Amino acid sequence: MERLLTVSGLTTEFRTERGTVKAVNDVSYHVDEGEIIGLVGESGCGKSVSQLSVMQLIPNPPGKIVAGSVEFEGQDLLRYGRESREMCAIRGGRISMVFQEPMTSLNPAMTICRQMGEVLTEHLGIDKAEARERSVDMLSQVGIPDPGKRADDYPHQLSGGMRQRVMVGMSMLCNPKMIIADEATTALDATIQAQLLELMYEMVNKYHTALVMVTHNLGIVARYVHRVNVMYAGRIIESGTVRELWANPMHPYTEGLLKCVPKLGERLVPIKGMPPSLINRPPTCPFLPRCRLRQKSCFEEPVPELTHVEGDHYTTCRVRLEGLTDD
Amino acid sequence: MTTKTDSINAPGLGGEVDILEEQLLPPVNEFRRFVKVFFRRKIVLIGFIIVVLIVAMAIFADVIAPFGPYEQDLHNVLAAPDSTHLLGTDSLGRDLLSRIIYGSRVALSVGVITVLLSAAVGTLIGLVAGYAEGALQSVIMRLTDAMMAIPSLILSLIVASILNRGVLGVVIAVAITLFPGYIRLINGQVLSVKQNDYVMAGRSMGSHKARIMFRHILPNCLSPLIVQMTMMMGVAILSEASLSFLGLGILPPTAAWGGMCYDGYKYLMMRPLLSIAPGLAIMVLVFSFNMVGDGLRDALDPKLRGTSSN
Amino acid sequence: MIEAARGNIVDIVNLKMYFPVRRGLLKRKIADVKALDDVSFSIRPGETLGLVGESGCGKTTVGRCIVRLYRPTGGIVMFEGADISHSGESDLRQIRRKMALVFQDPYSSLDPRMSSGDIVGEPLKIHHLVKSKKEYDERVAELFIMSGLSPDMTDRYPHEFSGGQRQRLSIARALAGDPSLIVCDEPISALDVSMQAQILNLLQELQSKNDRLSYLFISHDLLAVQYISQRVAVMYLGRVVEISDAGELYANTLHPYSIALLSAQPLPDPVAEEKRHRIILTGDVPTPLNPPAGCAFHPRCPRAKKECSESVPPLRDAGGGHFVACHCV
Repeated sequence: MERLLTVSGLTTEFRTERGTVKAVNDVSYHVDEGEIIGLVGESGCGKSVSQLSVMQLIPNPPGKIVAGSVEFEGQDLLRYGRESREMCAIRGGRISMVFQEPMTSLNPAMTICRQMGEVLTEHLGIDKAEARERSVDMLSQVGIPDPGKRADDYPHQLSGGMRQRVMVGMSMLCNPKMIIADEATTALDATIQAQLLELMYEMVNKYHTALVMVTHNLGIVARYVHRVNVMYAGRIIESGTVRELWANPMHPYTEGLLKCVPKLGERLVPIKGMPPSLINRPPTCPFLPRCRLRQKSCFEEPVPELTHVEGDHYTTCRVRLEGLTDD
Repeated sequence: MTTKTDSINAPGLGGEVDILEEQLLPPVNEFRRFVKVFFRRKIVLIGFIIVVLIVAMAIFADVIAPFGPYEQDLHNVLAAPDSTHLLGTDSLGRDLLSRIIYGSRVALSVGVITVLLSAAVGTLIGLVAGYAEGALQSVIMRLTDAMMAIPSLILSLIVASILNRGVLGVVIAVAITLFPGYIRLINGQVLSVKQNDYVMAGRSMGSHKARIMFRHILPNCLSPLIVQMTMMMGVAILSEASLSFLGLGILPPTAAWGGMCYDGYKYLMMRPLLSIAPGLAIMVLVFSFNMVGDGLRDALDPKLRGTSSN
Repeated sequence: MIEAARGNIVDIVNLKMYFPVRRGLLKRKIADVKALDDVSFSIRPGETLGLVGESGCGKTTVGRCIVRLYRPTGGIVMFEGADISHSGESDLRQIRRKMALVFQDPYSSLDPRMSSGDIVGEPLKIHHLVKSKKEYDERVAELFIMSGLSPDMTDRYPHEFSGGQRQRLSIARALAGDPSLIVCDEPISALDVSMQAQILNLLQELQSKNDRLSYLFISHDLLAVQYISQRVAVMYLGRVVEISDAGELYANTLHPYSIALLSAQPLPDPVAEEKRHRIILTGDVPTPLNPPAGCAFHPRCPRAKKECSESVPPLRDAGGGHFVACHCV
């Protein structure tokens, strides 16, 4: 498979009154063409910020990308300015995003068709009549009943599930190479969520589009994702195929996360404590205060880089990597 | 980072566990944050200093003013500014500067009393309307709208001409134009605060209505109320000055800026300072209160409470 | 369906809750939203009843009717054997010591202007449960510890706590009156996965220490409900469509909606997910303002037949206390 996106050493900081927050800290990962990868972690772990950084959508100030590179189809995106023509062409054209809240992502004062048409005329420079035709066709592809008529509706006239279908359709309009779905189905009801996930899965397979699923829902990851990156306190702490990670989690956080999900007949083992504050963090392992495997060296040395274990599996746990425990 | 550990028996974590100090968000010094945001804009700082100076001027008028407010110097009627009378004298030979200094007492006291009175009445009615909802709210709010539709100066003039002239009359005449604004503000605020689950939690715990209104709802309406009150200080001072200018306000010979403007108006060609100086005093004070109100609005913004961002 | 009321903490019988839709200056009623239509179930002492369903199905309304924040339009709410469906405010004040609510949103459920100690101690003051300041302080500290919070934090304000800790504060407040029922309305859905597990375990531990403490656990998360509940009720558009012991319901799901709901929830296990046959429902959840005739689920039901659009299926025993409302079962 062709390499589509390579992110290396990405670091994004936010300045606050209490100090500098490294919301994304030395994050490296890659996405291949047509691949579905997952990015999991709890709120505040930097999973959304890392994706917004890739798209250069971080509000500056207070945020700033301070290091790293984002290579997409052979171009380094960070070389382009935030508002440059190149970046605007990539956003929505080559990479598109689907956000959690479809109500705020759509302009309430414009009809669905006009909003979709605008994306098309902007990126592909086609005329209005053709834009409408393509929009209606896309609406029918994403399963909107009676798309010719619904195209002239305003967002508030659609249900939450329908709006998110529109968002998915909009993200596919210019046939992008990659879609970032940032908690795209979190706000929806269970049965509607299932519909949307199936729809997205079908669409990206049909058009051979890569999909980055940003979510906290391990069930979604288990079902749809091939490879997954686990984020904690701004860092990717473990990465691997879902099967490998589930069967053999190396990092105690990944392990803990998997045990936090209720399973039949098993008692929950919560991870004790809470995620740390990201302000002025020392370079040691961010999971250290909550870790049950911690050793003396963990307190003294900085957290290791994401290190290869086997196959696609990488981890940052020093104890496991160096075999300091027989656990 | 501190990793001081306290061991307590914390259920939900399976027995004895460490509660790490760093798990608590660092305490936020609300006062320091407030001061920092409040004084971030220079214009707010200037406004604040002017308000403080004028308040001090009103309190220490007896010490600061070179002459008494009614002291006449009949040899120097309508005198031009000189070393004894820094701003000159009026048609009765009274020192203009001293009268402006004493006039700040009237402006501030009328402003404060008016604002307190209208805020108290308006808040109470707004609280009841917002809490009751339904027909009672509809009636109160439509009456409020009707009152707000009457031009405020005309309303003040009518009320002032019915009531006795003097401080009390002016206060009531001005307050009556201001309190509907508070009803509106508090009613809207109550409706939004009521959406919070803690109000429902209070009811589910068996709290009395009064406890919910005064313990949970009112304190959470205070920030916009304080901002509104500061802004209304300016409006009240201006209204008092207008009434005095039109001869329905504070009775002469009391030094009131609005009345002084009117008195000086007759000699505008000869001694323009007689009108302009008190007019400027009104303008500066009103402007300063508005700036302070602006700063308060930023500093009391609930979105910023407890946040660390700038 | 109506079981012997003796000894139950809660019995609700044919509960109806209609919310009027009002328009215009005179607030004339133009329609009713039937949030609850004929809901009946009981909660036994020391039991956790899970209540699952999608948004708008009325699960929150049930909880609020039980603690009588709403006055039901019809039917009966019994609390510890007494009919409270039409009790006045002063009677309710006495009863409310014995029941408490835990809300979904850990941010809006705590008054930002009160210190965490005052929040937790408020029920003690309202119901005059302590005699002295010293006793009050001791009791508050005890509640903090019971909920897994350090008693040193009583002076802190809610915004200084994280979401999980705030939910612990909510639970501490709920425990203050030594209640026999806590209605937990989506208590974990706003929390992170690791915090969810902590709160679920906390709730369970509290129950294991007090065998009369019952929960009504309202959630859309079937896995969490399965974990914590002894019995589970599934709701769809204002009605209970299936109710049974938790083990039975998950092992032998009968109602097509319950089956679809279970199927919609992705399991956090890639191996099991691959083997699983999933049912994806078509269509949207209808609005309770204008529910479909007959069985409300029939327009989306893969097994719908003619009868389903004509009459509402009654909740009937399918054997062993497993009740289901479906014409096809």
